[in-house]
Amino acid sequence: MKKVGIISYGILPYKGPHEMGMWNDEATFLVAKQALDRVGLNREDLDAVVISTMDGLDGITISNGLLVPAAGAYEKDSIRIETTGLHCVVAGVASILSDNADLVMLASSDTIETDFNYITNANQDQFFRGPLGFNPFQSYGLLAMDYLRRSKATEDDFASAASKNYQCGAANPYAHITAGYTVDEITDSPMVSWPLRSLEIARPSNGAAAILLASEKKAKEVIDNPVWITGLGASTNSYSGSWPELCGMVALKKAAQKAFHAAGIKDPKRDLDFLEISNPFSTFELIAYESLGICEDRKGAELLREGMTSADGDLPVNISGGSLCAHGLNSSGIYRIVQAMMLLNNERSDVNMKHPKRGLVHDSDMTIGAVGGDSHAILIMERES
Amino acid sequence: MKADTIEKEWSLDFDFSSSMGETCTEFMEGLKEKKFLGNKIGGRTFFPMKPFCNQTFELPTERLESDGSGIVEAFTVYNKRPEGVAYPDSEISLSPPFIIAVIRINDSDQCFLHFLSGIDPNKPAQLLEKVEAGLRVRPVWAEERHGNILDIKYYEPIE
Amino acid sequence: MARNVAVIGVGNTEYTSAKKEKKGRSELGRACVKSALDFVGRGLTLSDIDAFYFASADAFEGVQRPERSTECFGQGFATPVYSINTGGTAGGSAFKTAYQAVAAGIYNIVIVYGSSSLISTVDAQQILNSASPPLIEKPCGAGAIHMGAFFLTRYQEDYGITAEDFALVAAKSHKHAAKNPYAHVRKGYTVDQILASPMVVSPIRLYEVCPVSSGACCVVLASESQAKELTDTPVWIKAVSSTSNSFTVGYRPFEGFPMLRILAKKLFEKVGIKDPLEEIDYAELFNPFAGFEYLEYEALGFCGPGEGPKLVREGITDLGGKLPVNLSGSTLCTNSGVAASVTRHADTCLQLMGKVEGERQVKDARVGLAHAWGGNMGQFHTLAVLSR
Repeated sequence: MKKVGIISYGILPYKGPHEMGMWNDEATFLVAKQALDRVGLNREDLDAVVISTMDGLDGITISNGLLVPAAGAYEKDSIRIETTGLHCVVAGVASILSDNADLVMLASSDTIETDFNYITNANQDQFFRGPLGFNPFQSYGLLAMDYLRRSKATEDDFASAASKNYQCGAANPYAHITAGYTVDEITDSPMVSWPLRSLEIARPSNGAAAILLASEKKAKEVIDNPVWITGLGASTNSYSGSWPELCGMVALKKAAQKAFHAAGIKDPKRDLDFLEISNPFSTFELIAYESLGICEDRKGAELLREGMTSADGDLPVNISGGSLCAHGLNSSGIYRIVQAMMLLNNERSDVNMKHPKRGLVHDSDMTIGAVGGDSHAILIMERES
Repeated sequence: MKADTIEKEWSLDFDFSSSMGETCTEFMEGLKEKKFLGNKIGGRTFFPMKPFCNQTFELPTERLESDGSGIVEAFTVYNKRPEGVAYPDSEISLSPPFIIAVIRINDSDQCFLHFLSGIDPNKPAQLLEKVEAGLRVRPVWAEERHGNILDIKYYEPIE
Repeated sequence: MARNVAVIGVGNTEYTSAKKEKKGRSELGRACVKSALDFVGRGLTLSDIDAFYFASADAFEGVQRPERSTECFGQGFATPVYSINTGGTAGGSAFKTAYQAVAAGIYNIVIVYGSSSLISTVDAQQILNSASPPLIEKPCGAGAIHMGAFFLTRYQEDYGITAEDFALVAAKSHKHAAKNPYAHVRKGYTVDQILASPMVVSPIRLYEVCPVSSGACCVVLASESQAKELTDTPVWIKAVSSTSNSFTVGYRPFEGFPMLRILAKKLFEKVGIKDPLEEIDYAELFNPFAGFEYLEYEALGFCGPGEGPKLVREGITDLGGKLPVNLSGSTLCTNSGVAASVTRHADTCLQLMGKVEGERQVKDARVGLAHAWGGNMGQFHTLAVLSR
């Protein structure tokens, strides 16, 4: 894949609902401006804007109308994609590699508190699952139960995975949840959808994030040693199917295969320095270890216990604290890319990882429901030493 | 920390109405008669009926009937009442905590979700064992049926 | 180096009144996608499609992210489905990003699907009002029809455009829609019938407004090497782009479509078109209100300000004229929500492919233009230049 650079970012610290004190156009403007200012560029330099949001989460129809001008799109080309932030990256990359743009702004914001149950039930089909009140929490419960059944993982392993994320989040100045919950606190929290407890499920956060994509030529003009996108893959799960199909993470595996192939990654455990995955529930991290090929089937809990994926391990997963610590329903993808940028830029002085060169970012719209119909995408980012 | 700004609250309330489509309509009509309809498409069997195969686009070749019984493949126990149901049908008759089950009906090549009652929802570890051993369940029909998925109130174990 | 990309196939379903639609979302989708695969033929199947670009606006559908449970987009093969929502222009936006992805080498064959967004709406005006800036403009209760009225009232005032002028351009669409097997309203209303129809919101009369239709539309895009194997009539995508206005509108003078003018200038420069009236052979322009067609002629440089009606009176934009426009009947006669923004591309391609039915085929159409308009008060335009 020809190179596209991520040359800058903008971010507002993530908070709880009602704590932003602004609408999403203002939040979008602030992060877009930050991204431009950081590298001395102007709105005039932009060729296109891509916004990552869903109408249902923004509380108005055609919300890109409000948001694209806030990200710099007046009299410019723009688009809004609802799937995930990484699907927006694909669009930005396509724009650049098709010679239609040199500089693309990607932005996303979460400042609206919605009726989460209602909005997420509304993306279930209207006839079979919707009327049962089926919601994301129940879908996560089903996946966690299935993992308990087919692997040797225990509920304590799930809580450990969650705690690992919370400990990391406590150290992240941009995370929403910095309480650093322990395993005991997690196993004491009330059960929501068995076997998942409330502290094992991500709570919606408010915040905003933006990144600037540039063609190879433009990237090298603007900064030294840019971060490059070297692999991208996207895939969507079938809404209906057999149970093994619905819980088998087909789309996650396929997206990873495509991204690994493009980036020349043969052994993800060896070839990657860190992972940032969108994990709306504790168990998903263990499932992802297997689906991404960093451990064998059913061995996710073992890998966790070995410590390899903790902040000071050989392959840290979610140094940012993951979705449990910052869960922007629109912005999780762009947020995660910014977290990865900070690691590749060595901006997190508190982090032990020495000069990481190559990271994986995952995003998914499981946030509004898993077990069918969900999309996954994987991005490989790297920098030359 | 709450910022010092005015909070605006609002609600969007629109009306919608749409055909369920031909296959779904046929299935729901079947529920009124306590029939759980399925179909055959390209050699595979589907309960509930499916309008076409999502790989080959083939149309169904045979209509099948069943009593809706099947085997539980997965479950979760949910501790709250379902809130904010966007496409409500009949009232949900169960109270929390209640079990949502993934059920394979009559050897279907696709699974189906519904509530499961008649099992202690406070003993999920036990339920997990039952599922691993093979838990067969059957629908409990509503007295009055209107042609929607809640014409089945919930499923119960077949002893 | 970007690759060349062509439209190789078109899919349509029967267009009818949204209230009469019997098919469910998945069934409609299957019919439309299958129709596109069959159009291409040569053994093209669902598993050959590398990605689907689904265009709609959730609020119209009454379902959040409807494509997730619409099972005709290759999800059985875990094909990636992109959900594009830019309101009424979503079809144009999806066409653009799909084209770019194939040109960039990310995918080889993709389908752009415009959803039949209106089959569930009970009151579309209500929903459009929710697209207004919430704090200040929305409480005035403006809906889609008012958007049309603001522009056309101004146009009348500035140039003395008459009721008959509007009826003339509406009649052109109605005449051709009557012969289009894929149009919804096929009544062929005459100028007199249009003038006699009731005023809805001045100056717009009932037969000068689009219906609420059902029906989906899709197009198949392929890279050059694939296109050469799969079709004898590839329609090459020369350029596609979009533009955005500001969000609040209260300050605007509503003088035509200046943003479209700027967009067209950029695109025409890019592809080397100096005289659009001479060099473009066919256009599909977005006309949910008949009078918009005039504003679009002028913004695209087919004629000077206020001269739109002249082009229709002189037959220049009719079949047999120098630059036929909207011989499908366009959005005025078939408005199935976001599908209408894909149909503009589909119908232009059908003309360039020489595959138009109902005696509406333009001879030797080589260069075509497809336009979409949408968003609150027409905040967005998309434009595509296509050629054989």
